Amino acid sequence: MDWVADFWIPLIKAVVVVLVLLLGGAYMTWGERKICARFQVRYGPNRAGPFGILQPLADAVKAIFKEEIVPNHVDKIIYVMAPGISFAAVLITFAVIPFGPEVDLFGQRVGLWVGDIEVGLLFLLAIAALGSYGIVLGGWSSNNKYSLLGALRAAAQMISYELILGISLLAVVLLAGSLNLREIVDFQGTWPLLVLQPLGFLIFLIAILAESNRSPFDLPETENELVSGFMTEYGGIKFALYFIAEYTAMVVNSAIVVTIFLGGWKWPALISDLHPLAGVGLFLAKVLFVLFLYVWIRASIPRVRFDKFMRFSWKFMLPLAFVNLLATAAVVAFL
Amino acid sequence: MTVSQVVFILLSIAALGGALGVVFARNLFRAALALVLSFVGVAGFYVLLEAEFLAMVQILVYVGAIAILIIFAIMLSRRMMSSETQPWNEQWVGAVVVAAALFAALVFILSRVDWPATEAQVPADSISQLGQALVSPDFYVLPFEVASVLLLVALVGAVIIAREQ
Amino acid sequence: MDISRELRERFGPAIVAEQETRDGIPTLWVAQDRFRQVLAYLKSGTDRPYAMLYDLTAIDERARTQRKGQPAADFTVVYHLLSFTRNHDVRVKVALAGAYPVTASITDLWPAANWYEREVWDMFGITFEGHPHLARILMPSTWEGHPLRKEHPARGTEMGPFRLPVEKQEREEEALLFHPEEWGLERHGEDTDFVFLNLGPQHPGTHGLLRIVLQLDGEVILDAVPDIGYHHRGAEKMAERQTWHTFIPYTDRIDYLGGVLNNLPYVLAVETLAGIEVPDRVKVIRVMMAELFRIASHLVWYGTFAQDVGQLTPVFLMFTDRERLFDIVEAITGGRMHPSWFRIGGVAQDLPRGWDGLVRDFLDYLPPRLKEYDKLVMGNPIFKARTQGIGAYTLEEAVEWGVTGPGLRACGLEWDFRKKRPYSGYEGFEFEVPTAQRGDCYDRAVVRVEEMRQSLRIIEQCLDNMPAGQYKADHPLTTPPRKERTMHDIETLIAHFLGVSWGPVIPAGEAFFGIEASKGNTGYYLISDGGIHAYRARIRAPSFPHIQMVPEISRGLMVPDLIAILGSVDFVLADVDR
Repeated sequence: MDWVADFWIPLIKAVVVVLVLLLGGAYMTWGERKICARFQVRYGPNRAGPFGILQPLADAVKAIFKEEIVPNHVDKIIYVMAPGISFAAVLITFAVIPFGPEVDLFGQRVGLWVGDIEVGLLFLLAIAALGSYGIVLGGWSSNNKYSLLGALRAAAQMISYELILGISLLAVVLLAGSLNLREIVDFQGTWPLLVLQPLGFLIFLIAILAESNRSPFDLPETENELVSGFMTEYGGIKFALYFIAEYTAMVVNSAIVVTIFLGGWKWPALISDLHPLAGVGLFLAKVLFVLFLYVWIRASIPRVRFDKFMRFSWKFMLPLAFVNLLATAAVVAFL
Repeated sequence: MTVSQVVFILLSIAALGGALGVVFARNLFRAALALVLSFVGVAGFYVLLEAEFLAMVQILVYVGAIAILIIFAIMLSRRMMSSETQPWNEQWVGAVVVAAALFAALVFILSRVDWPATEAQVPADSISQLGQALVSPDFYVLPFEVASVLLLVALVGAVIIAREQ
Repeated sequence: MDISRELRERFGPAIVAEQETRDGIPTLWVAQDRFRQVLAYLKSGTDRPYAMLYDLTAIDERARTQRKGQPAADFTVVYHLLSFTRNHDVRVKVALAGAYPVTASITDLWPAANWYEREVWDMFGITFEGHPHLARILMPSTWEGHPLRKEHPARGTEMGPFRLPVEKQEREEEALLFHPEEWGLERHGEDTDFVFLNLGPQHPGTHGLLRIVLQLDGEVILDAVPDIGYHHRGAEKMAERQTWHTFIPYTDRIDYLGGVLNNLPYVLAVETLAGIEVPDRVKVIRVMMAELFRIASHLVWYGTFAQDVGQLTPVFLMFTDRERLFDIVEAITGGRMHPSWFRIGGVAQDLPRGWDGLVRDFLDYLPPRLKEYDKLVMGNPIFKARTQGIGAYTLEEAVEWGVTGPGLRACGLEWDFRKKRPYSGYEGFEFEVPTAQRGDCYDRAVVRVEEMRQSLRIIEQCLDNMPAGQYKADHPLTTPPRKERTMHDIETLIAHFLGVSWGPVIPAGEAFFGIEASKGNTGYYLISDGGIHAYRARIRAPSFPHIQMVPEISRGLMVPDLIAILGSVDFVLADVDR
């Protein structure tokens, strides 16, 4: 067994990725508050450190030192477990996302990804399905009607949007001829898939917004209707776990969008002869752009009604995704 | 004992323990969760057998769709959720008979079939080969299509039943 | 034909007496056994009927000294009806005898009477026979006594020390338990168990202390029962112990977003009682301040309504605009949300130097903002999907339930007190009364948005044509009295001394004054017994009937729709509970 190649390098990669993700999730809360504030003629956090950049740390410290309260009427085991499931699922998802090419680092050939598995795309979908359990279980175990309604919405939303997500990705698989995310990125050497699949991209973007429970599809928590939905009974570090899971999920989902539709770490064909590590920077830039979209959408539009959203999903989005898939299949088969 | 054997035992505990949990849990919601555990254990077996595709589909379909539907239904019926239910009812005699018969049949088949074991390496491009096998006329296209039609019929039937109410 | 003559001819001896009031509204005393027929005739028998039950209240007459030939009564129930076709009001009074009298309910005539009668029962202990659910509405169910009765103490110091023995504590806790049956809700349907969701009193979507018990099937609302009273502060009782003058600050806090819009009907009612005619400058200043506050109130509604349907940004933008508006209010009055700035017979001070510049700046500032909000909120397709066709009621329903203000105009009826019964000089202003047709959440929003533009028009006319003159009427009952001459003759000095120490002594009489406030029609029905404070002050608040109507328009919809409806109705809990 080659300890360096088979043990240490993957371990280091995993640790670095997890740390970066955590930091990214934490700073996403700051970023969102800052950007939202600018949309709303405010300053946003500006007290902790310059431009408030220490705010996430202050929030984390506060959440950790809060008294741990487990209400009497909850299903205690599941109640404690649920935020952990949400959080773990988000971190695992990133494992299959390549954030750069294979590079030489300190004399070693290192692929800039954590895991390179054949069925990466399916892995994404499968883990996303597991992640929703965190919300459903949290909502159910809280034994609170608002939480339960939130959990119900989360479950229904998940069933609906998994399907659309999967079908919009099938068109990508048809074109790229692989379920492996690294190969899908390679396929986008000249043009990002956005160009070949504009409709698929839109469908995917909407579906992933719904999948990550973000505005305008933040129906499981809907402050004005369900108080906080599935999170109503949570506080302290458990609430913080949900919270950071949501924001890390935004980062991860942006990375997925970038990887599948925006060409991942690849430059457009015109400028390809750059240092491989520049690709990582480009990847980050693209992720930040998608994250900005998230916040932009949240700051701009109202929330849809739950049942209309379901109807929209089954009666409009799903057929549209099928049309997109069939059209892509026809093109692949006959051209 | 090799690493994979240890993993196998752990997965077996998850799958079987989950299955037992489904049967014995007094709370219906927890029974459904035990079912999820069992499904995940089976997915683990597939990974162990290097059938990644099957493992992912197992999670996607069983954990992500079927189990969540069951949970959805349980959450909608509130009385089931809040109180502890009896895990058996007056039909337990019939259930025992059916279960015993099924078990006997499974044991019978398992003991009669000659299970081929091969040392061959798993082909690198197993997914496309799987795909080819499913839709090529030389292999499984007929069962595949028949299954599709069956599912379609079930779907239409479900819609009709739901609509009458 | 004159309505009192019409009724006399038709009902003869059932009309016991006709009372003179300062406001000129025909006030008829009707025999207790015939009043339901009279009301039914007024509602549907006469041509151009009095379709709206505008207010229903009671008076504890037992301590009143100057009744001037009114029929003998221990308690009087007052029905105030409004006719849109005649543009006319009529007041029907029923005299009741006994310490805890019983009378007939009119809930079968007007569904809106339901809450009003409960309120009268709660406040006076008058029982209404035939009422479907005569329970306390504003006070806690365990309350002892009926607060607006004259023997009920008005101050905590009159009530003796508070004690909470164990039995009482247990009784209170017992009363908090939720039993759906008490609320008239079924636990089970044919094949489903319903979920009861307790929305509020602490809930981000209810804009204050409002509790709505929802009977849900899934997320569909089968029934909704509002529970109000959490914000009840006994404003009407306080009016009976504050002087006429010192009650003004309490009015600010009725519709706490309306500021001086609350002062206006009160001071107008007192001025009607006292017979004070205010100078033109006062009228125009009052109109300008009222319209500024109408915009402030509508801006809060606009932002929070968008927030209710899940839009994050507008509320910040609109509150920022409101801050600018409050800067003007602060410069003029010294206060912001609750300036308490109107006075009996005038306003507190003259306009400060430079006020016109501030107002001019705001007039230039707001229109482009409103245009932007049209795109941001009203034009947004998701916003439309959330509000169009949701919570709609017809004009007939609106009239039946006592809806006034933008909610009424959204059904297509162009009814605005500022146009129909101009007060405080509104007849001299050019503006339009915006209406819409469908009466749903979106249309109520359309009306309010346009109202802001019309208010800007009015303010601009105030700015261009501000008359010169006094900011206080030259009348002995003007409070605080004018100061200039106090050091020159003893009579003025005495009047001033009394006016400042006691407050004015308002001649005995009754007067109602209703105005077009931001939420609907706010009216004060004041009864003076010739004293330094009101014998009875009835506050006809628009939010009360509006909230009563919410279950009517939310059945069959979903929880998010209920939140949108609550946002579109634009109520203030203090205005509901008073």
